[in-house]
Amino acid sequence: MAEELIGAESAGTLDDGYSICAGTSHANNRDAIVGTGGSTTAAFHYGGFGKISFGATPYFTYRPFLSFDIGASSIPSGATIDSVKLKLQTNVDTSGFVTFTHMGDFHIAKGTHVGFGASTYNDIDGWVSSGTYEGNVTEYGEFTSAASTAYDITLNATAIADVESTIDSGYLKITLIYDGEWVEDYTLTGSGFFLFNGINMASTEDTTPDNRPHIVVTYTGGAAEASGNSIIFGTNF
Amino acid sequence: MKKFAMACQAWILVNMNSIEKDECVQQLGTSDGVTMEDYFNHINGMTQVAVSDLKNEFKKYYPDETNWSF
Repeated sequence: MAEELIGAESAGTLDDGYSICAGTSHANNRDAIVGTGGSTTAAFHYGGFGKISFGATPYFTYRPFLSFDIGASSIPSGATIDSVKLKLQTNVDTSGFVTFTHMGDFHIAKGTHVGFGASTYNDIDGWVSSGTYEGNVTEYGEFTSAASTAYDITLNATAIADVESTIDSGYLKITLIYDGEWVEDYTLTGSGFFLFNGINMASTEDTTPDNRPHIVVTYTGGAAEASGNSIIFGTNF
Repeated sequence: MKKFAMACQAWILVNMNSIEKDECVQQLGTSDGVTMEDYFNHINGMTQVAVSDLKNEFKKYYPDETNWSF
């Protein structure tokens, strides 16, 4: 069995980023067709709900988007994927003017993004404009948000199949959806001018390389491992 | 001119009050080598609220403090 560490895309059209939707309620944000902004240059990604005590659109919903280039990895053609793990690093909780609390469950969903912009907000496989995400959105796994935590999350058989189907060319694309969106519970906890519940995690701009989002793929077989042979004077031994 | 600019920056850095320093540590990870402009630009990225509005709201949030660096 071999192992491949693949970092999230850090440049180009599939650069990692977080998408924002600002609106009059979290319920409206959930069903919005497009977002209102986002960033691919920050050293962090936000996921979850925010609320600010200012302006006409004080409710914020954040969704991070990550892409992993499987086709450019060293995983050989024809390999069998045994496991896929998502590695993330969260940042600290904060208090004061901005109160950030890591909390709640996150659903690791299959992304369909082809770039990064306002429309990226809903580039989620199986996204529905109303009603439950359960059974509609393609899910790769779940985890519970906590501050200052290094995550090593085992993804499910759907993710394994998607990695296996993109070995020769393609990406594993991921977005994180807050459980509040998933179950349509828009409760916020805490106080502050800007209140935030969810996840604040390191992006590919984080100064510590180990903190950046990665996947770890284990595999067996495939062209390189299966051959294990030597070619001498044109003959495959 | 460069020395003057550096002196101005140093003056700003040493004149952040304890609230500003604490907020910078919370959001930027440090209060050394940063200014409240860095802080508000950071919050602007999170909230899409104009920096000028954030500055006003920040002062309202801490009404007992008057000695601001911005």
